[in-house]
Amino acid sequence: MMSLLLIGSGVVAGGLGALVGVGGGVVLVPLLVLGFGVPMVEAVPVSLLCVVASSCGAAAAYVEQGLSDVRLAMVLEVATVAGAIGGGAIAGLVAPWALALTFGVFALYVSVQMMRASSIPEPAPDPTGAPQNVALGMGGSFIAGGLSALLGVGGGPIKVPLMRYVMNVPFRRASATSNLMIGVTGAASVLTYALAGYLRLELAAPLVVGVLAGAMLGARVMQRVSIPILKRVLAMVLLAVAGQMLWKGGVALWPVH
Amino acid sequence: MAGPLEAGREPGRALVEGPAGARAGSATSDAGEHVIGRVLRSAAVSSGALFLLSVVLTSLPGAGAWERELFLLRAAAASLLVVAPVVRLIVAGTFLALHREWRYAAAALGILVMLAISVGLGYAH
Repeated sequence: MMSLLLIGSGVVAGGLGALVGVGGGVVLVPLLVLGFGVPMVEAVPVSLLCVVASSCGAAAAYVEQGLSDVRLAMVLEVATVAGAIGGGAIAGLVAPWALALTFGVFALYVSVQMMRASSIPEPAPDPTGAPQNVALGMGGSFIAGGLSALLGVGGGPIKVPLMRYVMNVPFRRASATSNLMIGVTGAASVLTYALAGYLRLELAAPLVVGVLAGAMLGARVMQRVSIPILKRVLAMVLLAVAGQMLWKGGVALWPVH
Repeated sequence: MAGPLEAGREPGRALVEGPAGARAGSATSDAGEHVIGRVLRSAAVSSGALFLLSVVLTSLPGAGAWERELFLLRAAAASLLVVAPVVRLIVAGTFLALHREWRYAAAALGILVMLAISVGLGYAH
């Protein structure tokens, strides 16, 4: 019964991750901690393995459909990984609660803006299909990588809006490209946790089965889902991220005794 | 603001299309995307099958006697998943290098080096 519940949770997380390019970790971590009583230190690596699974399952289809921009992913991955190393290097110098609160407010703002913009028609992309403001996009990806290392938020919820609204990448392409990118950084993080002995494979097994099924299904239906609905789904995911960050920052600021 | 990605692109041509918009290498480009897609799909399906097998075996009576085998099965499944994105980077970098897109091939190599550093330092989270 427990395995079936985990598989079902994985299907939802994998489908969501494939649709909006966020990997599904934002759903899985609170679900594992609050719903299944898994300690945070074990929930995070399992969730990261699920992000890699979601990326592999969905990106395979997106790359073959020509929806993921492999070249753009490569450029943004350089900045993201550099940001993650930088974030890890300064981890001891910044107050995590302040970062969490700041990012929580930012995610809340982006979520509200995205919800409001969901009914507005998409502006026409550049006729050449070229991403705009690449330097700004790389800067944003560097920050996303740093935040990922410092707060464990993952890059997807930041990079999809970044590609859409800063680089003028069409929404579906941004989501598909994000799906491709999150696998690389997720795999490095999983390896780090696994080497430290934190990855519980018996817990991951049913979740990954569900996530892979959900991601493959999500990749098949993504082209048929309207962009306003995809934007609303991403706005809800960002709202969940904002809630987690504000909670994280608030608890650290006013610890419960 | 112009960036390094603007020259010679068209929508839907994700991997490479040759310097300054040349289309001569589109077959290489398609082959690259095809190989990347196959790498990711093979890893996803194989890993999913191994994890599913481990879930089924765990639910059988007397599964406790196979703890070591189950662990190895799950470890193999997880390894397939973790290795797939890295192989994807290597494949993309190789196809870009074959296409003389040195900047992107160097980017792929740079990412691999930085990932190795980040894992080594324990910074990847």
